[in-house]
Amino acid sequence: MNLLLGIGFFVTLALGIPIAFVLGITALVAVIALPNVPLYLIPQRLFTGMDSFPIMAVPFFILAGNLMNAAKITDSIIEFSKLLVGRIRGGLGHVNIVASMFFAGISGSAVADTSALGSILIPAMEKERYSTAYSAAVTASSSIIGPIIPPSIPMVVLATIANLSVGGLFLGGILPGVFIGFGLMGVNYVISRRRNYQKIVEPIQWKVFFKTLLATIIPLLMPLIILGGILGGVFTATEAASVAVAYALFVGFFVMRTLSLKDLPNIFFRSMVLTSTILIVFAMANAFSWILATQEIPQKVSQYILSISTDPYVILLLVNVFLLIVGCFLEGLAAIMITVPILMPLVTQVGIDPMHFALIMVVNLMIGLITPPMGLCLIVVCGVAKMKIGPLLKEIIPFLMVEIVILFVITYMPWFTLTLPRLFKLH
Amino acid sequence: MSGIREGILKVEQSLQNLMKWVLFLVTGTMTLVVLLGVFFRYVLKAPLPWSEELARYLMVWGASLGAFVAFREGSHVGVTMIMDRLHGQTAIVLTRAAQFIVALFMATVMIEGFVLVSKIRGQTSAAMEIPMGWAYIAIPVGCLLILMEALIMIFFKGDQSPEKRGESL
Repeated sequence: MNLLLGIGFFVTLALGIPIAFVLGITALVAVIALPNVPLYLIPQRLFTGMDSFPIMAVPFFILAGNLMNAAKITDSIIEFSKLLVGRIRGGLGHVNIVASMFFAGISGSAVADTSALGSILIPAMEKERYSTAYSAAVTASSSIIGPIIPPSIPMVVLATIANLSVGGLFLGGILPGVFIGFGLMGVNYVISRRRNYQKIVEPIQWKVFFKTLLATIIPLLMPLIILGGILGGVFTATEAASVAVAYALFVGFFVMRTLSLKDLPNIFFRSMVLTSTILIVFAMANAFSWILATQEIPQKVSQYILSISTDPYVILLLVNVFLLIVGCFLEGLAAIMITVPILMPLVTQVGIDPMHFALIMVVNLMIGLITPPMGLCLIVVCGVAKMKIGPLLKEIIPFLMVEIVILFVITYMPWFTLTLPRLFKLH
Repeated sequence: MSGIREGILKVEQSLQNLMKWVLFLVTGTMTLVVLLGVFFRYVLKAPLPWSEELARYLMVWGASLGAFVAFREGSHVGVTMIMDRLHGQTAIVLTRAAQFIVALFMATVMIEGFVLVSKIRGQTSAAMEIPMGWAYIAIPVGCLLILMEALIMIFFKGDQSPEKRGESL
C-alpha cells in the first residue's frame, strides 16, 4: 500500500502534473485500494479543506498586496529606501534589499516582491553598471524576506494546519526577516567594494524627502493595522486582512489617487485566480494528509528518525537538511502542506517548540524559492531580467550561503524567533 | 471537423471572459461581507450570524472556478524539470498521458462530488440555513470545468502547451 502511494506520487510528479493534482490523485488511488472507504470521501475532504475562515486571510492578503502594487506604492518605497541606504557603497543593491523588507510589510508573497521590485530596480541597477546577473541575484535573494516579515501567506497556511497563533508567527518572523536583510546587505557591501559598484551621489532634497516619507509611511501603516488588530485581540487574522484590503482601497483611491475604478475587476479576478492555485493545493493536501494519517505514516517516519537520534539538536539538523532538499524540488507552500503533518509530531516529541519550529520551516522553505532546479523566484527573476538561469546561479551563491548560515543561527538560537511572541504573550 | 473545433474553442474563450466577471463579483462580495461582519461586530456590537459562513462558501466557489482559469493558463505549479528536457514524440506522448490522468481524476471527483451532493440532500447550513448542496456543488462544477479544459487540450489544442508557469508564492 505505502509502496503504491509512493510510486503514484513520484510518477505523477515526474510527469509534470501540478502538485495539487498529484496529491489528489495519490489520495484517490489510496481510497480505491482501501476497503470500506467510499470514494466521495475525496470531494468531501476537498470541500472541508477549503471551507475555512482562517485560510481566508490568504485571498485578502493577496488582494491587499495587489491593490497596493496597482496604486504604485512600489515607486515611493524605492524612493524612500534610496534616501535611507542609497549613500552606502553598493547603494542600489542596498536599496533593493531594504525595499524588499518594506515591501514585505504589504505583501505576503516572495514572487510578488520579485516581479514588482525587480521590474523597476534591475534596469536601474544595470544603468549604474551592476551586472544583470548580480542585479537579478540581489532581487531574488532579498525577495524571500517577503513572506518572512508579516503579513505572510505561508504563515497563515502553517498556522491553520498546525493550529498555531497566526499573530505569534507573524511577530516571530520579524527578527529573522530583518536579520536576513542585514546579512544580505553585508554581502552586497563586500561584493560592491571588490567590484567597485558605486553609491548614489545625488544630494538629498529635503522637500522631496518629506514628500516621499509621507507617501511611504501611509501605505506602510498597513502592517501595523494588521498586527495591531491581531495582537490587541481585536481582530482575527482574516478580519485584519479584510481591513487591510479596505485600507489599501482607501490609500489607492484617496491618498495616492493612483487607483482607478476600472482597474478593480481585473485586480479582484487575478487575486482570486492566484488564491485558487493555493487553495486547491490546500484542499488536495487535506485529502492527502487523511491518507497519511490512516496509514500511520507520520508515526512510522517519527520512529525511524528517532531510531537515529533523539537529540533535539541532531533532529533539527536532519530536518533542516531534509527541508532544504525538499525546497529544491517543491514549491514552498506545497512543501509546508505535505511535510507539516509528518514533521510536527516528530519535533514536538523531542521537546522542540512548535512555534519555533514553524518559523524555522518558513525561513527554510522560503530559501527553497531561490535554490535550483525548482526555485520559483529564480524563474520569475529570469523572466523579469530577460536572462538565462546559468549566470544567475553563480551570482546568487554568496547570498544563498549567508541565508543558510542565518537559518542555522536562528535554528539554534530560539531567541530570534520567540522573543517578540513572548513579549506580546502569544507564546 | 475544423468548424466544430473553432466552435468549441470559441465557447471555451467566452467561458474564460465570463469567469473574469463572475470571480470579480464573488471576490468583491466576499470582501464586503467580511468587512460588514467586522463593522457589525466591533462598531455596532451586534454580530451578524451569517457573514462568516457566506464568505466561506463564496471562497469555495471562487477557488473552484478560479482553479479552472488557472488550469487553462497553466498556473498550477508542478515539477516540470523532467518534462522540460524531453523533446519530440516522447514529450507529446507523455504530455498527453499527464493530461489524460488529470482528466480521469477530475471525472472521478466530479461524479463522486455529485454523489456527495445527492447524499447530503436535506441538510442545511448552520447559520444561513440554506441547503448545504449549494455550497458543496462548487466542487463537482469546478471539476467539470477542468475536465472539459483537459479534454479540449488533448483533442483540440494540439501541442500548444501553456507557456505561463509558476504564478504562485
